[in-house]
Amino acid sequence: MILTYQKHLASFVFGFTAAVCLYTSSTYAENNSPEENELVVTPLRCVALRQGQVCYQEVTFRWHQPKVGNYCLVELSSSDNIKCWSNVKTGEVDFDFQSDKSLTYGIRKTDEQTNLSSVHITVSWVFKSSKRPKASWKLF
Amino acid sequence: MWYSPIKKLSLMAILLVAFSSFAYAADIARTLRTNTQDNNDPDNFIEIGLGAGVYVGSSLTDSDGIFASPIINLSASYNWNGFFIDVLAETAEPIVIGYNAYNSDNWSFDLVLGTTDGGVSEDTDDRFIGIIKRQSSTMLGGRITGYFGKNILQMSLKYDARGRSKGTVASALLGRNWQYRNWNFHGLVGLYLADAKFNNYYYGVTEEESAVTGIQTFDGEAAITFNSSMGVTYPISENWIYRATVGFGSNFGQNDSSLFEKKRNFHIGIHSSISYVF
Repeated sequence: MILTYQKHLASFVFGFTAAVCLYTSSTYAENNSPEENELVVTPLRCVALRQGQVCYQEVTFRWHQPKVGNYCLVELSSSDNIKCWSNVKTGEVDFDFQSDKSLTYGIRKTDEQTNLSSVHITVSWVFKSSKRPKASWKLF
Repeated sequence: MWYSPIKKLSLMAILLVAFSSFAYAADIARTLRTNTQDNNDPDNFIEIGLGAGVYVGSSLTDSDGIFASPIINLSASYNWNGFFIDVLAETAEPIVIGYNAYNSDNWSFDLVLGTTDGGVSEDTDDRFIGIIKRQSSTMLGGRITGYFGKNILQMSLKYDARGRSKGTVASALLGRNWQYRNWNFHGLVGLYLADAKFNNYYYGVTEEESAVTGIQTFDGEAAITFNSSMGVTYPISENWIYRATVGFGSNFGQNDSSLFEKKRNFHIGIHSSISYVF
């Protein structure tokens, strides 16, 4: 009888887990359509367990520009191209974000350095972490 | 048979002991769970969670030693200038007060003071009426921890400073963590040694107690226990984490205490929870 009762409790816990996951994913999915001269990414946040860990998140970039042209999505700190498009004024790309720190991405015209629009993916964490002082004896 | 309030309390006590049995191999479990590499300062935190668990092992009552229960997780850690206090933080003792006395790149030494859970009492089960309540012990000692990349080795030695059991316990634990995307896995194996004084205080039965309770006399002896666990922790958001753990342990057949109604030479547990981290 107790085991039967506990099965319901276990179901509740796992159901609650699923509900939390669905809630968090639904909050990420809000209003992600780009307007004129805009770059959007969903989700905007990646959560790691501990500060300093590499955080993994499948994200989707969507952008829109007023004029047809050649554009690239660029990670701004390294200037690495994520993807380039030719003769378009809108684009979309799925990207496997992997970083231990927050990064900013921008849309640029191909071979130009000016950012037409940009977006920031924030890396956050549950547990902070900091280095202890090394090689020390302490007597209170 | 579980409708007696006393037995309900006993069940809760048994479950607390049962699930804390993971903790015999878990002084380093928190570090492993958070996927800490090298010798980092721990974070201050409070965790409150809800979960469920199933445990199979020995039983002090007339149950068959198979328990399933909801579990309320509550744990906290506070660190200040080398001092720390861990409450229900997957340590062998529910409350550990300590001081981090030495640090190098790979090694850390802590002085620790912790209080154990108590043992059997008249409230545990009707058949213990007349038995002398086993009080908690105050264990004073040290633990040395080595950090080698994703591997952590910890050895500890503690003595019952309050002198109720006058016992000594020692442990050696080896753990490793892995990260697969945002899933943080850990594995942990450990050996836990309790000397004859410690085991005799908690698991022995004197002739006087035997005369009152009818339970056969028993002299506790030094014993080694093996414990292991594997688990996963996933950050749902900045404040919510999901955890699941499977634990297995063995007493190598050294489970002869007459206090146990159902004797098993092993224990297995599964535990899953969601916690809010402040």
